[in-house]
Formats: sequence, structure tokens, C-alpha cells
Amino acid sequence: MAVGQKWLDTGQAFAIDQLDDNTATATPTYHGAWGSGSATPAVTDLAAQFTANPEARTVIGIGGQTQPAADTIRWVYAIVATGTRTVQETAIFSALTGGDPYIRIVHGSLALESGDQVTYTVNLRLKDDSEA
Amino acid sequence: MTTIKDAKGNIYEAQDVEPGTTYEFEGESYDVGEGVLVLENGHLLHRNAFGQGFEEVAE
Repeated sequence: MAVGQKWLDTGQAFAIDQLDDNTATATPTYHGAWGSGSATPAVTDLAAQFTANPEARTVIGIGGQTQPAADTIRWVYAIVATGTRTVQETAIFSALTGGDPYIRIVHGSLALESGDQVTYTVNLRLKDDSEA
Repeated sequence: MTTIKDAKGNIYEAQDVEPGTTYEFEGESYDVGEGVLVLENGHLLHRNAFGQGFEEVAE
């Protein structure tokens, strides 16, 4: 359903930091957010390019992180509308408020009513140049 | 006042929002339905989110 998705420069920098013992964070946190923006994602996107809706970001705990393959991490998170909302983008952020987006995805527009829920499943696969 | 815990164990104090209220967030106005709380960080949370990454902490 995604019409555009990018692993952002900020996410790539974070991943490299996690591979480096000098900069790795022992307990990184991931926060799922949604918004109403439809601008095509670009790798240079920052929080300013994400049009956040007012709902709290969902903290993605251990149970929301799995590895469906050895080279892939999957984040699953749900967000519930607190009123009539238009939603067409989601992002995974480094913090509950503020912070950097690691991944931004634009999807088809959803017209939601209060109490409606969307569960997002986001996969990130690391691959080398020889892999499709 | 409602106390809420997220999946990482962070604790938030939250207050009920009157349904039908217009809520201002980052320069935009949003309507608010029933069963909605406002967290101390200014974000809104629907009670349907309990069990979906958020839990109410018993008094």
C-alpha cells in the first residue's frame, strides 16, 4: 500500500552508529508516528517534512520488534485515532517527541474516525550490492 | 488524572479531554472524539490504545 518509502539519511547514520562500539546505544528506542502529509519521501527528510497528527507516538517495545529473516528487522506498531483524521504517512522516530525520523513512508489516504486503529508493519532489510 | 505506562515502562500523567473539543497541535486544529486523554507531552491518546503499546497503571 505504500506509495513511497525511504530509509532516511538519519536512519542510515543511526545504523552505522549502532555497528560502531564507540557510538552504539545499548537500548535504542523506536517510536511509530503517523501524519497527514503526502509529499514523496526523500532520503534527506527530517522531522520538518513529516506532518504529524496529534496522536502520541507509539513506543515500539521488544514485542514489536522481530527478525523475519536474518537480514531484516520488522517493527509492528498500532496507532488509534483520537478524532476524525486523514492519515497518509507514517514514520519511525528516535524519540517520543522531537528526535529524528529513521524511516518515512507515504501510503494511500485513510479517512478514520475516532477510535479507529491502524497497525503498521515496517520491514527494513540490509543487503549488499550483489543482492536484489 | 490517569497514569499510563508505555511499552518501555515510561510513565505519563494524562487528563481526559471533553469530547467535541477542538485541540490545537503544531499550528493545526483537530477535533477530539470520546475516550481521549491528553498526555503531559501534549499528544493525544485514545483509550482504545490501551493494550496497543500503552497500558493504564492501576492506582
